[in-house]
Formats: sequence, C-alpha cells, structure tokens
Amino acid sequence: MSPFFLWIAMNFTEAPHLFYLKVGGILCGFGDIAALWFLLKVAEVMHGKKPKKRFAILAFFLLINPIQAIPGNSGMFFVVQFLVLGIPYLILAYTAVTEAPAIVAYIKKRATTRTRT
Amino acid sequence: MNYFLLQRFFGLFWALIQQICFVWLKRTHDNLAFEKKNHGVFYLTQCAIFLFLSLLCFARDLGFDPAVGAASTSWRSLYPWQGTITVCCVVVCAAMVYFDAMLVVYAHRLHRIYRGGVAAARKTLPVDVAVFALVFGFAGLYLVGSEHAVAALDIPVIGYIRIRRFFIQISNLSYVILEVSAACIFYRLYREMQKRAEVTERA
Repeated sequence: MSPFFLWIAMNFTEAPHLFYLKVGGILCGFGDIAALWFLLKVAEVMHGKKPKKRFAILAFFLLINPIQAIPGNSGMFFVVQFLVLGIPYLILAYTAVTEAPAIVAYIKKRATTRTRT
Repeated sequence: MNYFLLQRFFGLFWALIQQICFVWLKRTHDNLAFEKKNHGVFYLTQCAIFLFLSLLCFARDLGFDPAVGAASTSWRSLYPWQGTITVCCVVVCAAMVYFDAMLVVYAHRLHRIYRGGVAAARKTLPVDVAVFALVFGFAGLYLVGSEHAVAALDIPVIGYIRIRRFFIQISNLSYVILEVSAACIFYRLYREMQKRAEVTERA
C-alpha cells in the first residue's frame, strides 16, 4: 500500500483536487436534484396535484448548478456548493418528512384494494 | 474564513440532512412492513450519532483533541493537529456515505413493498449491518493504511493533506453513484405509480 499512498502524496496536488471537487460537486448536484425531482413526482401522483413551488425552486437550482465550476479555491467551492445545494437539500428533508405518512397511507390503500380485487 | 471550519460546518449540514432522510424513510418502511409505531429508541440512537459527530468535529474547540491526546502513542506521532482533521474528515465522510447508502437501501425496500405488497418485506438487520461494516471498514482501513504509510515513508505535511483529500474524492464518487441510484429508484417508483393510477382511472 505504501507506494500507492506515496504516489498520492506526490501527485494529488491542489489543481487536480479542486478539479475533481468541482466535477464531483456538479454531478452530485444533478444526482441530488434528479432524486428529489422524482420524489416530488411520486408525491404528485399520490396527491393528484403538482407541488409547483418546489418544482420551480428545483428547476432554478438545476440551472445554476454548473456555477460550482467557477470558484478558484476549495474554501470558496464549499461556500458556492452550500449556496447551490443547501436549499434543494432542505427541500429534500422537508419532502421526506412531510410525505412519509402519505406514502404509508397510499401503499396500504393500494394493498387493501389489491386484496379486495 | 477558516477552511477547516467551513469543511466541518458543511460536512455536518450534509450529514444531518441525509440522516433526516434516512430516518424518515426507515420509519416509513418499518410502519409499512412491521406495523411498527414506536421508534423512540431509533430516534435516540440517531440523535446520539449526530451528537457524537458534532462533538468529534468541534472537539478541539471544546478543549479535547483526540489526535493530540494520542500523539505520544505509535498510532499518531506526526502532525497531531492534522491527525485530528483527518479523523474528523474520515468519520464524517464515512457517515455521509453510510446515510446515503441506507437511504438508497430503504428506498429500494419501499419500492419492493409497493410492487409486491407487505409480503415482500424482508429482514432488514443483516443488510443494515453489512452496509455499516463495508463503509466504516473501508474508512478504517484507509485511515490505518495511510497512517502507516506516512510514518514509514516520512511524507511531508502537504503529502499528508493530499492523502486525506484523496479520501474525500473517493467519498464524493460514492455520493454520485448513490444519488444516481436513488434517482433511478424514485423514477421507477414514479413510473409504476403513474401507470397504476392511469389503470385505476380508466377502470
């Protein structure tokens, strides 16, 4: 293992670190927003109405997600990443907490309907 | 602003949100699969885990520095302060990957229950323990391996920082894979729910 760690210590400088942070941050942002988007779609099917505000906020943050490529150092990158993904993450937590009872009720209802049929 | 302070603050924020999502998905799953109503012990455990993470991250500010405390031992004799940062980073990153992985596991279980009914629910403990062992086992191996390498090769402090940053990149890659998996599971769940809703409407 030592040569492997020695190679990292010699070659993994600030430039590749920042580059991979940015790439990882942008991909992670797209992944997170996609997961939340489909979770909201699930909520839409359950309730029969679209949570328009949350979709609009998500669409905005999806558009600004690539600005994570701008920061020139990793400290600034953390701040920009927080600004871009902080609110979608809060929406994710809010959706998970508020939709949990509805998911239980929806799946139970479906199971009951299936038993009857 | 202090780089390490930012790293700790944001790391804890992401971990907290992922933990909340995991807790609520597990709660939903357990309510469905086992008709479980009381989650008090589980909530308390999760609160204790988050408190532990917070205390670990701000241990030095509270007057307790685990790595400096261990500086006289063979485990950690170089760069005690950097050692503290490394321990915090590795534990918080591993916790985030763990919560993210559990989120995916429970989303998959909910999807399975939706398709197959409550009968499709299975024992959860073996997989839960396996995910924990896998994530924290890898993090622990990386930490011990890098410490041995640093001690044996006499790597300068900048090299030590680079080794830690490499670990953060590995965990970032894991998040991307896990987030995309979660998105795929929610997409499949949405498509199936939509199809069934259309069938019900037609009937």
